[in-house]
Amino acid sequence: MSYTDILICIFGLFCSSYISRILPLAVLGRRPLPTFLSLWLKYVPTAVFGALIFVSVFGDANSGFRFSWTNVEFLAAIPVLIVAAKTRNLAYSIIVGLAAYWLLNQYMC
Amino acid sequence: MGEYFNKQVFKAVWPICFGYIPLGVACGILGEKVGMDAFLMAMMSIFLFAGSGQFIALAMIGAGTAIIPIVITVGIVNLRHMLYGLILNQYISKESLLYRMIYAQEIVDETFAVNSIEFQKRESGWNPKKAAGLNFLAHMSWMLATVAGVLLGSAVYIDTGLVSYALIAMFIGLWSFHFKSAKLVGIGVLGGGLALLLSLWLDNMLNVVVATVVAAIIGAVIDNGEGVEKK
Repeated sequence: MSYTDILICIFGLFCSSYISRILPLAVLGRRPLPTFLSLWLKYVPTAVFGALIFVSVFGDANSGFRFSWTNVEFLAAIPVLIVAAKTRNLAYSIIVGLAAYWLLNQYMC
Repeated sequence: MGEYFNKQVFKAVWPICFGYIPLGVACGILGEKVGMDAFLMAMMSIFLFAGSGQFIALAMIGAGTAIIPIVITVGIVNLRHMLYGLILNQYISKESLLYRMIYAQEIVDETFAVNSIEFQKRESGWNPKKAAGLNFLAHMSWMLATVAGVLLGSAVYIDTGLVSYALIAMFIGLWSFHFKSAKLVGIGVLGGGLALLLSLWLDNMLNVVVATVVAAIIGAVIDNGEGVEKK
């Protein structure tokens, strides 16, 4: 991507992210959302993070799936998941993830 | 200025700033690897301002993805900010339109979490001005950390695999915030499975977008009166 392309991309990113941010504050006011829409919004975060995690850990059809016991991304994700579920702390999750990934790479491959 | 920046505001904002340093530096290092300079990184941090969104956008730029799929994917990932706006509305809906337009840009997981907790404590005397001060300080520290990451990335060698693993660990951490019911966890796993399956036909992260939309619809259908969560 060229320098100009990246600037255009940043502008596009601003637009697609600002819509979700401004809609409730400036347009919707204090009117409640339709029930189904608010229920859908409740499940969007968990679905999006689940999808992102699976794709980053197991790869995709294009680059080849990584379903194996020697998949370092998968093995390192296990302690992260445990720590994240127990502490709900972003910093701890990242530290454990980096440590596990680094150690596994040192001793497995 | 004391109305916006005072001891109470600093006390509330410092954990956010502290967390932003490693995350922002990692984001800047990734940015440097995919061809961002300090100016572009500062622009991205000002106008996008989203930790996971910026990591995803940078990873996609690095993979040579076209602009439109990047913009759509990050837009979907940031849909959750709409929830935060709906909840914050009760505290700031009486402020001017300009205030609300600026506040909107400052909605991220961290500022939402801290501001909504402070607003809820009646005795704390938290108000829209203090919230604006907190938002500004958090946003500035994020921007500075990402720019520092770009400068650091160009000065020293850092393993790319490690930086991208920081992203995966962050996703898992962010996902864990939603482990509030079996259905919420289940829909996340379903979204993951669908994203893998759909990658047979869709690429450019569109598999992630479609999997998210479909899994969340299934979630809404099976929710069965659990209701919208009150944060």
